[in-house]
Order: sequence, then C-alpha cells, then structure tokens
Amino acid sequence: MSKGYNFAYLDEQTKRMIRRAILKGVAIPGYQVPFASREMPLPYGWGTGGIQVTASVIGPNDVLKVIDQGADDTTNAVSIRRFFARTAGVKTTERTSEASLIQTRHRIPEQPLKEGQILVYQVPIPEPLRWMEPRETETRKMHALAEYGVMHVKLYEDIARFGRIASSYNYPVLVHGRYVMAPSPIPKFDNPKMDRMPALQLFGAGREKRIYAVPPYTSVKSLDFEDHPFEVQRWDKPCELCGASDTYLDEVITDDQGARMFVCSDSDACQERQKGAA
Amino acid sequence: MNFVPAPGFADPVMDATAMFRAVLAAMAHPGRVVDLPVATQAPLPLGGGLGALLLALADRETPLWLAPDMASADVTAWIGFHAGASVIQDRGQAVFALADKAEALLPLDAFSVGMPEYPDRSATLIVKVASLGEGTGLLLRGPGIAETARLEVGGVPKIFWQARDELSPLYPLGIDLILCAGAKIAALPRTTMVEI
Repeated sequence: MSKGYNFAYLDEQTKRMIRRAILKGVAIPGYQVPFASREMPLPYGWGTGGIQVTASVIGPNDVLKVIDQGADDTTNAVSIRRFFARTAGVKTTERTSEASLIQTRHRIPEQPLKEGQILVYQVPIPEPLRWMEPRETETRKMHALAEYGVMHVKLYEDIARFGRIASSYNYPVLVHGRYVMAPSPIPKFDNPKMDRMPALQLFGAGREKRIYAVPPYTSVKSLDFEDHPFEVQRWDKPCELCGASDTYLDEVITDDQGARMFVCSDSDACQERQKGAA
Repeated sequence: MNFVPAPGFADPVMDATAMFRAVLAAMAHPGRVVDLPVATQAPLPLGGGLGALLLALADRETPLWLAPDMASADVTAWIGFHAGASVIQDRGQAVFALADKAEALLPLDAFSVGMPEYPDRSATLIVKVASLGEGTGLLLRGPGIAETARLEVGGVPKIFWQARDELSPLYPLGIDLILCAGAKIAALPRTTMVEI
C-alpha cells in the first residue's frame, strides 16, 4: 500500500460528504443527489465519479473487481483496480462471485449478483432528460413534478421514424415507480438485471457531480408502450469462444478482409464457461 | 476551560469506514438489525453508539439539532471537539437530529423534508430506542426489502409511527430514520412503509 495518501486516496472530509450523498441516494431511489465532486488523478470520462464512490465505500476487507465494457483486462479496468490496490491495499479479483465491490463501466456482469455485493457504475451523463431539455433548472422541475411526457415523446418519435424504439444503450428506466433514471450507458440487454437486483447499485458521475442509487429489491422498469413492449437485443449465433447463447456479445474484427466473430463482452463469464466445458 | 473530552474513534479513518458500511447496510436493507463495529466513549445521554454514528456522518458542514433530552454541556462539547459540528436551535435547519427518546423528536414535520427539486436536503433523525430485534413487530415494506420484513422496536410509542406515517404522502420528500439500541442499529428510510 502506498504511503503518503489517506486510505483509498480521498481525505476524510470528502468521504463523509460523499457518504452522506450516498445515504440520501439510497433513501430516494433514482434521485440524483448533487455532490462536491473532486478532481481525481484521471481525466473526466474515465470513471472519476465511480472511483469517488468506490473510494468512499471501500473498506480493508473488500475484494474489488473492476470491469470496462464487461472486460477485466482493458486499460480503464486495470488502472482503476491497480489504483485501489495501491491506495487502499485491498484484494482484487476478476471473478464476479468473489467480489464484494464491483466498479463497472457500461456493463452488468452476466452472473447474477448476490445480496451484500455492491455494484458501482461510472456515469457520464446522469440526467436522462438532458438530450431533450438542456437546462438543469428545467429538468430538476420535471423530476420534481414527475413530468416525464417528453421522454415518452422521444420514444414515440423513435417508433414513428424507425418502427421500433431505437435506443440500444442508456435506455431510460423508472425506479420505484417515481424517478426516471439513466442506467448509465449499459446496453439495454442489461436493463432487466437491474430490476429487483439483490445487490446494492450505486452510480457516480464525476464531471456532472451527481450520485444516485438503487437499493436491493427495488423495482426498475424500462419505459415502453403497451403495443411496443421493451425488448432486449438478440444474436443469431452463440458466443464463438464459449458457446453461450444468453449473453451480451461484442463484434470483434479479426483481420482486414472483413472477417469477424461474436464473443461475450463479459470476459469472466466467458472464461468460466470455457473452463467448465473443457 | 478545563474540560477534557472523552475519546472519539481510536482509528478515525478505519473506524469511520466501518461505521459507514454498517449504516449503508442498514439503510439499504430497512429493518435489518446491524451490529455497530466500533463504539466511542461519548458522554451520556449521547452514548457510545450514537457518538460513533455522529463521528462517521457529521462534521462542520452538517448543523445538528439536539432534542432537549439529549442536550447537555458535555454532549455539546464532545460533539464540537470531535466532529466540529455546530449545534443549532432551529430544528428546521438541521441535517442531523439526535434524541434520547423518539417522542422528543415530535412533531416530525418541524424538520426539513427537503424541497421538490431537492428532496435530499432533508433531515436524518438518529434516535436511541430501548431494543431492536428482527422477526416480530412492525411490518415493513419497500425498496431494500425482498418481500416484507419485521422489526421489533422497544420503547417507541405508537404516536411516533403515526407521525412518521403522516409524512409518507409527501414522498419523495421526507425524513430518514436511524434507530440505535446499544451497539445495534436499524434504519428506516422514507421509502419504507410501516404497519403497526
């Protein structure tokens, strides 16, 4: 563990401020709590919000897993995992089942999470209404009044133009029947996993200075219409590495002749399945 | 001034971290009785458990209101020395409120319930109760609870639960509650529906 820094990098005053925001977030599911986001030793867009939430939550006995688009071995995941190994001295893992704390960029692990685990999302744009209404004062009022007509109009316009709801990631959800929430840019394939998840879900947006949360066993409903119900992506073929047909697949270009393959985005789930088959 | 305050956390960083995780577990699972990992030697009527909660959560940015049954010179001095939080008289401005007995917090609507645009700007009430136990007692429903949960709370009169229930139509505005019995806590965020 590095000397010269406080445990988990942040100072205690900052952690208390973030912890208070997290507790209010848990008490008001889906509501975006403003917080005094600090500058972190990595650029905005690399998980400054998630890292601050993780730093405020993590304890010496936690086992940390970090994923970036489902993978444990990409730059963002490796550097954040190493950051906490150095500043907090915690154990790290790539196994979903062994982790007590999982920081994620844009995926939910395929393996169902258990009660007691905490999932921390890195969020770029926390405000689901932002693309329809750029003014923060207005979106705040819309949330206050639960005035979400504009979001349904957006989804309806998709249907009118494309014949279906075209959003495939960051698909808006309604939390505990009250707040429309951005699930961060996870593929809509992952949305059903959020509903009544036994694990605690925390969201941190560093640049936008917002924290929000979904407590365990909380209703998270993807917005839709009776005649255009919510659907997740499907693929024609199973994963070409592990053969799974029920996971989210990435398209990987394998040469410059246009050859491509579809493989699991969740590297841990894919490897576990390959081991099991071998 | 020859006042020497009793000790706070033995290890301020790790103790605060462990305390926060206990509070987070309680808040994420309303009605679950969680053991406090550390205690302080805070003077009575504050006591070790409430003192530890306070040091984990409060600081100079969080005005506190002490119920009359909690306000004593020793307690105020201890809080001022260890947490740096100011004790205020106007309970409507309080971020945290502490009481030795739940009825000392009434009327609940005198505390801030937040504003429609900012429901987070609401009070968190921390109160001592005689006992906490799972499996019997109040019937709880809401986020954080798989189906229903039962929480036995000793020494809290019915009128307090009625007063809390009267705030529920205000949701998402409301107040959040942390109950403490010795070295055990349970939390009831505003989302939890309580049936007596």
